[in-house]
Amino acid sequence: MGMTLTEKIIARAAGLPSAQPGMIVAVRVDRLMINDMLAPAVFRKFESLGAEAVVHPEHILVCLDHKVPPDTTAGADVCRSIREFCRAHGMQGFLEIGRHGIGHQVMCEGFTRPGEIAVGTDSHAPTYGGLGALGFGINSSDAAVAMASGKIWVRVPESIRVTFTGSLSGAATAKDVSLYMQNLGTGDFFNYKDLEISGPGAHALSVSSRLTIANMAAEMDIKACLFEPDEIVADYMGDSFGCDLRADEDARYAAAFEIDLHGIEPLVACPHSNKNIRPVREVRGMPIQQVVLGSCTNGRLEDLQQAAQILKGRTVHPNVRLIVVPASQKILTEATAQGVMETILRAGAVVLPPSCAGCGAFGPGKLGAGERCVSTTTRNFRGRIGSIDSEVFLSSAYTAAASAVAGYVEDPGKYL
Amino acid sequence: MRNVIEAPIFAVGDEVSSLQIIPQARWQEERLGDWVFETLLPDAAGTAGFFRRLNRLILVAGENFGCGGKSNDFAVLALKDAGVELVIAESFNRIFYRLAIDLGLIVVTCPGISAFVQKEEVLRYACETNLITRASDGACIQAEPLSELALNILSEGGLLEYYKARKDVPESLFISK
Repeated sequence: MGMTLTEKIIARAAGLPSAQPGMIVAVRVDRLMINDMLAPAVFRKFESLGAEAVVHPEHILVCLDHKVPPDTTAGADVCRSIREFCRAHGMQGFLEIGRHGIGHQVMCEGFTRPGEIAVGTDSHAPTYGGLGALGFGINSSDAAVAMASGKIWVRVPESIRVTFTGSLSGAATAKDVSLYMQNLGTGDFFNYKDLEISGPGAHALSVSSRLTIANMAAEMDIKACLFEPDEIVADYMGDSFGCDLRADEDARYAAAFEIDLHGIEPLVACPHSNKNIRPVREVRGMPIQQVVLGSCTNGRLEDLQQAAQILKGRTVHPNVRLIVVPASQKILTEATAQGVMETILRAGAVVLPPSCAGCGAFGPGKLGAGERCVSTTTRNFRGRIGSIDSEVFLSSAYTAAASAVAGYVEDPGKYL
Repeated sequence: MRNVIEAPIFAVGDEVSSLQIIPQARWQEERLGDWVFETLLPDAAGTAGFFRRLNRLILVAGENFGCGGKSNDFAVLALKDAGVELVIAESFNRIFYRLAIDLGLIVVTCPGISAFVQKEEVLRYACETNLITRASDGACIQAEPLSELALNILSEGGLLEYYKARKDVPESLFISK
């Protein structure tokens, strides 16, 4: 019987001839991302296992990304203990502040490869699926066992095939596609399933766009979201190893969807749910006070370039603060070299260190009571970015930039 | 892991998030169990031990219990610290489900459980039969069986305990639901 991409990757990583939904197997962990939120728990649990050494330390990235740089003495002490642990255990994948990024982003900057089992101690690990890796989130107990054994248990999920046709037009972006997808199913239809995305529309998307879609798919409660790898991924990685991975012709999928990218327009997720999706043109005009451009969803060079396209020669509205958080130092450096950051700064934006700031739960950039924000991040439940009396609209980089200039939720088509 | 758990339940509704189970502001507390449902139950706000004093070993929940995407241990540890041994839900958020198994909290999926129970009810869960019985009238509802993997991990008390005892990662090659 044929296998889906998910089943093939899991079978290979488990050393089995085949894998079917419902089986629970022990798989080799190819890449492991541990961030500052869970690192203390992971390392404490690892020590409690009495393991001799960390298995495959070269497969592990340790990323300070939630509180960067630390803003309390306690936070600084946590970072120090993380550094000490990594040094003591030969974990060279510790990324010091200044050479760092959001964990999910740096995993995709030449580390994770197509066809790998790539896990991270955070719910947005499905991002790695943009590169055709099986990326999913794990907890600190799993990460500790992975460090001690090189393996974790995983239940083989059902796969759902998604075919993209056509291409994005006008001001529509991958983020708008991902917002559209939030309502593909009702209830917990996607819970614990893998999306496998292919089709001519998918193969025409940049890696950055694929990472955005895989990232936002996490909000659908999927286990993972894989894009079929191809020459675009090979070009990005610098070699084609693993890029010919394909599902079998007779693979069995639990469901199939087709999305015509041409039909996608700029969308927003309105307060207070990622499923409250409306076209921007229907809700434009609501005054805002803050715009966040960044995060693992839309903090890449392509997103900054999109924002700069609209911000060039214009200024942020007097009532608005535009907070820009590039997803990694590499991105920030490249955007600076290209003049993109200058355009953003001259428009009147503030730039924060690459981190999860602005997305909500941690770091600066909070909203006060009665404030409204347009954000390129992933979650807009009540109180996510501060006051429970604040409102968050999730959007693309284009829509965020347009809104920052207008002073209200605005259709980017007005500026492009 | 006990084969039979019989106790009064506490019921919550659909879409109860990890942050409603334990708010972020309480993550550093000594007794996490003191603050379970602080933002969910009107009488719990600012009241240490409110839920724990109700002494319910069994929690019944609706759809997507433990949603919100938090990958840390706090919600599961808080429930355990509050004395909860078993959560029966219409469905679980997958991140929470994995946390629960790995940390030794028994999680049983039972579509229909929300309608099956009243607010204050004694239920009996039998692991071998997957039957949940109402003490008041003996009515039964069938829960989904725990996977062999879940049983193996829970019988050791959690993933770390399993690994320490067996020196390996568990797996179960049966095609379970």
